[in-house]
Amino acid sequence: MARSSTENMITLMSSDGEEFMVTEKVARECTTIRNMLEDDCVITNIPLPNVTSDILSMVIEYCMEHVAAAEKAAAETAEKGSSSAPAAAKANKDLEEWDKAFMNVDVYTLCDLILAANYLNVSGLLDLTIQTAANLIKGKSPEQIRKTFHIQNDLSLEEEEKIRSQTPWAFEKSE
Amino acid sequence: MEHSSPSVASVWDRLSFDLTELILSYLPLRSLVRSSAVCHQWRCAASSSASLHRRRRRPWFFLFGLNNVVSRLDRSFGFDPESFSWVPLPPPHPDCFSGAGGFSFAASSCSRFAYSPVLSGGTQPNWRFTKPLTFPRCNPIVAVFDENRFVVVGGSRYIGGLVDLEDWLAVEIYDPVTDAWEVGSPLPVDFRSSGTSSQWLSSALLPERKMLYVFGIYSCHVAAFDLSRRVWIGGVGTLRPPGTVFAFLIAGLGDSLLLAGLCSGEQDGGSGGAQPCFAIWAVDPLMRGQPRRITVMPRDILIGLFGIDDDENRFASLRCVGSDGLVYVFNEDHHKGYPACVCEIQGKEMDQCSWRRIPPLPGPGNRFHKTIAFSSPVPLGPVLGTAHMGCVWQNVE
Repeated sequence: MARSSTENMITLMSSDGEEFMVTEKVARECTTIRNMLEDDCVITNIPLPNVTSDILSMVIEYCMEHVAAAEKAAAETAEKGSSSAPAAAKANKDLEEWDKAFMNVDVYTLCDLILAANYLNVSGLLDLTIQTAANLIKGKSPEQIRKTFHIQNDLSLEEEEKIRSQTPWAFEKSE
Repeated sequence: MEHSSPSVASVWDRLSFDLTELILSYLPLRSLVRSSAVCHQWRCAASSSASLHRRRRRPWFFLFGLNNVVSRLDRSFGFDPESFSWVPLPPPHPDCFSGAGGFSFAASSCSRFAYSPVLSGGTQPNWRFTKPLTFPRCNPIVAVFDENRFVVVGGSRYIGGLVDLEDWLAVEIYDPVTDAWEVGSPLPVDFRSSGTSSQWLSSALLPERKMLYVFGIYSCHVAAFDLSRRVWIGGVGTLRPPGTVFAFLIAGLGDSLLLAGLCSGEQDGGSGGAQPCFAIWAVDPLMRGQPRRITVMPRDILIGLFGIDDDENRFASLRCVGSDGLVYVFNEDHHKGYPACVCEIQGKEMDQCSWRRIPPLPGPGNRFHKTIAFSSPVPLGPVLGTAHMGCVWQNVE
């Protein structure tokens, strides 16, 4: 991807000390960083003590992909005067496919990504990861959910029985 | 990279309560209820997830079927638009006659009035009786405002098996705090000739305006009841777009009104054949101007619901309910197996409309003598039964 050399570069530093050089545009996808830049415009080096390098690299990958897609759409609109609907729909679909492939991760990584997306305030990524977590819960029984996320059951047998007898329709199979 | 795999037990622990709540708010209701049985934290998060406005739950479509001969064939179903599937529910109350605003209503002997939150109570529904109505009646319209105040309009009263035409049935409004019914003025006289029971009327409540609109399905008369002042205002009007055979009035998105009805004889682009169609119009709540047509049910869906015979009577079993931008249309003829469809209306100008066929009702043997259909939001509190569980959850960072 060709970028003008005048574009500001920002260095993001992960909790384990790794440095990532990104364009300001990509960094601004994170609302938390955008706010920092707006408060202090000469800042070029941002430590992120809550995000490990492997997760930060994934967040950056996501932001770069989405910035590139937005730039491409804007360029096409500028070229033709108006964006053609089928092309825009295809671009959206491609990005959706990309997101889907990007979410092919284990639950540990997913939880880390949720935390990072929340901390850095990347709304698109937060929505994507939350939706992915919700999809992992959908259609499962309480036992299966506990197993998926390694959750300890601290409800008493009576409490659980009460929930089931109050809402039997929610626990019947099918769906 | 020294990413040591975290201990197995801690996968979810690192997510704060707020994030758990956010994740649960993305779930369809059935999955949400299951999640509430996972652990204490999830139980609290499931209950408070309702307050996250980002994911407003859409109104469900409820269909109760009563078999007059064998009551064990009674069935009750709820359609969840989020998971786009039917949920089989415990059998309905044999005296149930309608539902709205998060409740279903039952009346035995027409004077005893009972209510129960929808989807709550499992196999032993928690029906609560109110004080008897001042004017006992059968099949009135019931609407809900201010969360749990019921307003009862119309209905009919029988004397020796015949409808008592002389009785003016006052509007009654239930106050849950004092368990008393307050009486307001009766349905305007224009409605009396065309039937005052719920079979002939449809209604829409606009909470922001605190107005209840009552509409004659065949007469197309419309009147508005001011719920704060307890009076009918603005007289009786008529809402009948050209060609309308019958129609239903429905609360749309936010502060809007919709009219949904069957039109006969729309000229079909030169072919000369007059084809019936089912259309939806936007209606000004102040009744200024003409209804504005916003969408027409696609022909294949209409045929899927009512067949292709030439008999215009096939539409006599069409019923339509809805609220909050969803319009449900279904065929209450038991020969057809109760097919239904839904139209979702979005956009400021209500110009984004999408029609979808609803999957068939689950299970064989759905043949009822009477069906009760309504659309209602599903308040989470009564469903999860978490109102008194004292959820004070600390965020552990």
